[in-house]
Amino acid sequence: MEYLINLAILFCIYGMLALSLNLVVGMTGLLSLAQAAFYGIGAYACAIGMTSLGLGFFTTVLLGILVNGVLAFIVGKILSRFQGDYYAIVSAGLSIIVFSVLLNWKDLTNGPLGIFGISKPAVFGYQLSSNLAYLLLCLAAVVLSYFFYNLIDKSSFGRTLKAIREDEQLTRSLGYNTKHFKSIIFVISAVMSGVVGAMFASYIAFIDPSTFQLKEGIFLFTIIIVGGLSSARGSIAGALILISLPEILRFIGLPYETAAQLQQIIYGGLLVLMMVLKPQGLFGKYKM
Amino acid sequence: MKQKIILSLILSALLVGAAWWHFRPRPEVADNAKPEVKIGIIYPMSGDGAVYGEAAKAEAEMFFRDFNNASSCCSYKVIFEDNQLKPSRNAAIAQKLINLDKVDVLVTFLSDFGAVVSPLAEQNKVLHFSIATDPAVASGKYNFMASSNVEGEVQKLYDTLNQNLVRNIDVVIVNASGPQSVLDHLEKLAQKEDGVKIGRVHHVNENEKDFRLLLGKIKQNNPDYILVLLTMPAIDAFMRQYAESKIAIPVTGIETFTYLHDKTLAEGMWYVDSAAPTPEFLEKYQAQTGSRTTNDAGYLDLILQAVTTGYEGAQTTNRDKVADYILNNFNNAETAIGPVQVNPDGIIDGEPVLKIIVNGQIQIMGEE
Repeated sequence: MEYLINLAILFCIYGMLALSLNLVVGMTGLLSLAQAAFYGIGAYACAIGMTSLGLGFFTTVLLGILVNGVLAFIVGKILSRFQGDYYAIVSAGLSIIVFSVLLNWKDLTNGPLGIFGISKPAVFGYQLSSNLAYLLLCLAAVVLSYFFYNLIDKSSFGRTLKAIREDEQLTRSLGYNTKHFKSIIFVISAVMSGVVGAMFASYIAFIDPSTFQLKEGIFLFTIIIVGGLSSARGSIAGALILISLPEILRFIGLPYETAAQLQQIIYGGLLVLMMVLKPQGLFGKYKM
Repeated sequence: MKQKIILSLILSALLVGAAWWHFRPRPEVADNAKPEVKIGIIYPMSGDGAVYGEAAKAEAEMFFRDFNNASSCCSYKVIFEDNQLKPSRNAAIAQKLINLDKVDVLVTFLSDFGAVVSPLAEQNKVLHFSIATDPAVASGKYNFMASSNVEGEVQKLYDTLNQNLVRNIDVVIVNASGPQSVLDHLEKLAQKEDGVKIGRVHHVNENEKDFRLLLGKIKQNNPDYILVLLTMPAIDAFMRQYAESKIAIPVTGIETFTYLHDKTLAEGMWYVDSAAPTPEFLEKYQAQTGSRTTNDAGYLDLILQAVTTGYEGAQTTNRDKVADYILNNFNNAETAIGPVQVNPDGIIDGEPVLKIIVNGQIQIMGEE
């Protein structure tokens, strides 16, 4: 049971990250690879706040929101000048910079040694020390994120974002300041990732920079491609598949000598098959 | 419609998989059979770190090939799980091993991964051994750590440099937890008024291959010694380019030349080591597996030896008693990395010695 609870928590965490990324990539059509950076900043804000500053979990979440918000606002302004492949390259650069800072700013982040002893949050004086209680918090956060995504999706703001995705020049010709819209959604997405980062740090109790590398951003990208772009359901389904599939493959009784390698091949093969059958992802509303 | 069919198929596959796992046929166990001790080993078996996983798997197979028949207490079963070097996966994998496979012992590799599993092991009263360098991993009764004796190694290096009247050193260090731990200890020692001082610290990334610019900078700084804290494959590239650059500043390290593939590149150089597998272990490993091993395979052998010593000695599967037995009786045991000590915190490490490369071979200084 504990195993399934842990998987469910992991699924919630990646589900929320996918929702936040889908706001930028799916809804607005911006190829952002910076998500792992904001996820990491949120996690480190929580870890440093709780272990070094003695702050409570929710205060550290606010701290993460503040740091991510300011950084995303500045970076978003720069990124809003780019489109397509250029956007991907610049955002990947941000991810690499943040990873390097986490790795090298030893006085603050403890460098490659990471930070131990991050405790679980307390809600109204009740410590969520059991994984089941923590899962409930995560589920509540996923549901909130899901509705928040749909709220944006159905709003005039969301419609403008989709218009930017379809044709930015045309949208601009209609009088919309597209750079402004791109910056705002980038900040919202970064703040959401930061909150998830704090939840991850608190769940896993130990973080180090290796979790927040560019490849994590690419993994999140895969989740939303498999699940479907511009779809909240797709984000959730993608996270469910990419988190549970490697775990299911542990149980299929492959030959002991080559089990790990075969699992990777089957995993890759299934992803290819899914993309061939459903190129726009399971619930995707458009293809990249 | 198509979406629903695909989703239904995936969910059905999930349910069938879960049902199969729950109702799968299990072998009958005879009444007089020895109790089974399950050892869950979490290693990178695929991807970047697969080289370590492969060596570990070969080592575990080698260790238990004859041991189970000889055991007077238990039958040992090893379950390997692949973590793909992703710390976020480790908690779920450890929970799978603890709750579904019901393992008695967990083994993890590297501090980042040990740190995630350590609280889970303590909570579930499962013995946990980690090949790590951060002492926090060993906190609690059920957690043990097999490590390099970092503090002892650094002290040995510091004393030796002082004896050789070395006044300042430049450090070349890879950004990883083990080398960083070494540097932290050395910086503390270097704060003393007299003695060796650290000049410049040159940080490099794990995949760095070109050190020519860095060597140029070091030449300009002109320290008395270069302390190199790199692991494979970077160490080979560094030593090759160091030889090409014809810099006259000598190089030393901690465990460094053990990782060097072509040891002639460090001919005549000394370094400190408490970690390397003994020549006997290396010979046995090569004879039985037909391949070279990694350093950590020696540690895994040590861990499996500690586990089996605990169970065989305590003659019970009670993990409390096994943990106590290991703490009290594993001191001075002869292992794959030589004699080791166990401190009350559950940290198992070896005695640091000075080694030197002679004719492309590692030798203990004074015995060459």
